[in-house]
Amino acid sequence: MHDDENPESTDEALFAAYLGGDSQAFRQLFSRYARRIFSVMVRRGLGHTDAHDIVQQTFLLLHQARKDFTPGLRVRPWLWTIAFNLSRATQRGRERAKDRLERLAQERDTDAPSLLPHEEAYGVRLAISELSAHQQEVVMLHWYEGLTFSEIASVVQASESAVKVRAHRAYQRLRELLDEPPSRTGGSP
Amino acid sequence: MNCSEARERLLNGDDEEAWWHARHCAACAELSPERTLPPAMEVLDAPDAVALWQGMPEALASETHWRHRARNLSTPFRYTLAALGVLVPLLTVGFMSARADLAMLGPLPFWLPWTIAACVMTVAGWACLRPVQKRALSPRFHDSLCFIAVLLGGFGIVLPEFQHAHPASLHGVGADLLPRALGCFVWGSASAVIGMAGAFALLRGRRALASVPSSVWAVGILLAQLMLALHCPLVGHPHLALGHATIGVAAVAAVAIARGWTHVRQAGGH
Repeated sequence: MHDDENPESTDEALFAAYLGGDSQAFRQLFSRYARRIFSVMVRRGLGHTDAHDIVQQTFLLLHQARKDFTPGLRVRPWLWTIAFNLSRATQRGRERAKDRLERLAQERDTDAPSLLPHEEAYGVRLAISELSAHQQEVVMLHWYEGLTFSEIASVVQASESAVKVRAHRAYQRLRELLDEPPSRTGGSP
Repeated sequence: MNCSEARERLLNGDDEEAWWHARHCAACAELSPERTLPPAMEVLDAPDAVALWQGMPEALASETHWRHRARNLSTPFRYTLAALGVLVPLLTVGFMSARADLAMLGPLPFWLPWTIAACVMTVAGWACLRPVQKRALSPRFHDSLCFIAVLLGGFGIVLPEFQHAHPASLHGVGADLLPRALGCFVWGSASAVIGMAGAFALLRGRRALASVPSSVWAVGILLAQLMLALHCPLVGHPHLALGHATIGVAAVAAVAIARGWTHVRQAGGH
């Protein structure tokens, strides 16, 4: 499978084609978002197995919800809403993302050498894990995924101004955390 | 230059054109030189799309199975089916085997509380069948609905005090207590299972029974209570406690055991 057979097609056009019976369009949509969802889930502190499962479940749920889709709606906020709903459910009752990152940092030489490629990225992720769950979601979607504030608002079911406030506070907090010496943000490995 | 390209270039270092973009784009402004954070676009060792796709064709194919057809329907259709799934048994009982004293029961002591129960059941049905592309409701909300369902079942015990005393309501005491209570428990539990199974069939996602939202159990518990309220005229407190209220308690106990077991298994797996 190529990464993006038809980069010109919008997500909505691909999904409409899928609804019309073109199964390749769904696969193309999958190629476009699977790795991005996987990466965001790992950044949220989930393991590779959970992240992989969430990618698949996200697209399975998108398939199940396909008859709710009407022209004019956007596919991307749907995908991210589903993925974040699943990640919240997966993380519930498990170790906190911060604890997991710290554990992974300890294990990185053996089990997860590619998960934490350099100290700075680790510091950013650890700092992000210090944010509240609401703030983390906004930062992930805005900074990493480039969603607009109005798209994020529809993903997290909040007003656009509330999302902007969350983003502002989150970035402010991130800067504070990242300006602190490494030991204060959990310690660079 | 689009946002994604600009972000990439901003994070990779100095770039006049990307800075210019960031100054005019709210989404990229956070990455402008004045506000820069350390690199965030770390390279993760994410499997490629082909590896992530493994297993998807089978999962998609399984959706054509008759058992999974209901959850693939549109949300308005699922809500309609759920409403019919609740109304048909209730109306059937109401018309075919309603309690003997139904016509004598006053609106305030009988119909008001059970109308409230029906409203809570509607909210529970709405909550558990909510579209997956909307932000999920908190588990606490689902749990509260289940808690209210159990409470309403228990509340039913005190209601007959206000109800009309009909000869049919005087059974189910003494030696008759256990057989009648057991009959109601079995009949009510069967109704609850039907309600839960219906909601479960319409529920989207690949779920283990233990991870089903509590509102599904609330639907079943309340359907059972409503069916029993329409069908059983017995007013004895021991009968209502043993035969009716225990249905909710038993359902919640079963869910708690299933969840506990799953939690233990998950903890063992990590």
